[in-house]
Amino acid sequence: MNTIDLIVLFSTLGLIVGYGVWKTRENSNIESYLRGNNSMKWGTIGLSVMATQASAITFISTPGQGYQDGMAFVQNYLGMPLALIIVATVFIPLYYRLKVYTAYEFLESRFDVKTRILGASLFLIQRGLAAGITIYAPAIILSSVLKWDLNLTILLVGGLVIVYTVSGGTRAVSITQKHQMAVILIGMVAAFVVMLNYLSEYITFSQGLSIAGKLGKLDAIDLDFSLEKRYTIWSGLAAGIFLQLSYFGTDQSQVARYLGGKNTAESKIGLMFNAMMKIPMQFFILLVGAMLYVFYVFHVPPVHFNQSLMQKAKEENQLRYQSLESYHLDMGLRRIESSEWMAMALRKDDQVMMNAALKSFYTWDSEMKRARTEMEGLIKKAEPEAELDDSDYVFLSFILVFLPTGLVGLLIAVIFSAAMSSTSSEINALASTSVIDYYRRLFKKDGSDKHYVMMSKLLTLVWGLIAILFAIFANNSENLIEAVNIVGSLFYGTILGIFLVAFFVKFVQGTPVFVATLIAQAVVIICHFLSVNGVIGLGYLWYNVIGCLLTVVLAILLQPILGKKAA
Amino acid sequence: MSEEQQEAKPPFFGSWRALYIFVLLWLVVLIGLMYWFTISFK
Repeated sequence: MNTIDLIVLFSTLGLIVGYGVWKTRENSNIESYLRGNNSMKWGTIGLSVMATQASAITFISTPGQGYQDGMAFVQNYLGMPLALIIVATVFIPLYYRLKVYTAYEFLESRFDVKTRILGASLFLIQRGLAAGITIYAPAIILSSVLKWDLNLTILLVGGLVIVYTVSGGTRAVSITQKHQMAVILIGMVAAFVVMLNYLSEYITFSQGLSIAGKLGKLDAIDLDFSLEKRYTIWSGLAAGIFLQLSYFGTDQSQVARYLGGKNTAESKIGLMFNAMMKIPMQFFILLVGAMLYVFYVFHVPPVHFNQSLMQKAKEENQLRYQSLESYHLDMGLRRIESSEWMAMALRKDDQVMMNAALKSFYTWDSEMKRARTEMEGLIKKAEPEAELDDSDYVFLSFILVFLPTGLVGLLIAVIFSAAMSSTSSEINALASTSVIDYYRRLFKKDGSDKHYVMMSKLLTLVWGLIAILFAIFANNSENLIEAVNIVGSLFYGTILGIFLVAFFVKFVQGTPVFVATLIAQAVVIICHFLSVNGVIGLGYLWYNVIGCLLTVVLAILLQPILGKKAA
Repeated sequence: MSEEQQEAKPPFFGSWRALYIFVLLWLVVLIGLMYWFTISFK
């Protein structure tokens, strides 16, 4: 990055952080610090909810996913509008009526204090680990691509987040997220326009879509009933409701966003805004990726997008590296000829020519893939632990090589903004849960407002530092990300189970649901160990389903035995 | 109608039920458009 890009990057981040701190500089009471004085309107809530969900990885990985696998991933979000309607009709009115700061406070009024502490603890374990990853995952990619020091990148993201989250609390998180989301959307649209401008030298936008479609990148909806396929309309609708309900209804990092609303109406409209805008936004980001594939159909892509791994392959065997790179370039140029042939076939509307062009395209494409596979062998020889999937590097690589000066800085600001927006929500939620569900409930019930604000600030700082330290000491991204996803799946199902019983199974009391949660959690952990040791074959996403259903069913079954005793 | 009930009314569509139906219809339209998009460029 050159000086202008650096100025754009740091001034964008500085302005957002500075404005957030200045706008929320006065926080005299806990109501203002943790619920933003219930002053937020639906637009701020809507963008804040959207920004919390969209982490940096969303803007790095999703275009890469569109590039590699096409648009099918959009189906993952189809259940979200239905889940958000349930949250708006069932969860929000109850949370507001009880005037809770955290979702887990509701569990005490519905069940008892031990169930509340259990729910809060499950959240703290899961989200505490995720906060580190939210910083670490983009930092490792950004530092590799920008050639920045990894720890400095982590400290930059984490440090900026701590500054405004400690200073302004929930309101600062929501206000900065509004501007971060604006930067993110402007940046993504700008990158898309530049890409289409490059493509216009060869084809029109509509022809670009046709080529992407012919190459299987635009299959957004799949009606197949197969359970083996990862993304279909059915899995998106069914599993989507389940996952999104758990996330939006019980995860404090999201609950805090809409509890800051002026009233229930503003919160509900904010969620409905998300229900309507999230799918088009994901569709657009995936379309950026699919069109990026078309862009590289008319340009020769690098053999491997992760340049630091390419450097290692070069150091391993320079001669072989050069011969593979030159062969890949040669095949790439031939593939471009086939692509131009495809464009001509589209202009002439000649199906025979199109079929011949596609056949030729796939011939050269398979040769390019062969060269890539051999290069990957070279990489593995140089670094056996290397992660060969380079889809996370595709969009960043395009940004750095093809975008004009200034826009590169803005797009890097997009990635940083996204990392900061989700991290700030997480540490804000972790701090409010620690203060409200532990400190105020168990240790100091009669503290002054000033005291709780000070404790909230202190715990925001502590959770921010824990996230930074976790990110710094993480040294294997692939295993770590997987580990955190597994930890999340281990707990998410049981948390949702507790809330579903609370809302929909009115006759179940605290002790049965508490015991049911402990048993369900133990079963999920046993399933995990059996799966890890190869005794059973079970994907970790199923832990969510098992945990939730087991909690609900066991709570109902245990009610006649334990419920009576409690009564 | 009480003040609380009035405040709870959505600013658009007159009632929450109408708003939720609109969001569901929007989902159906989006799925339809994406399906059309999929088959149009196959």
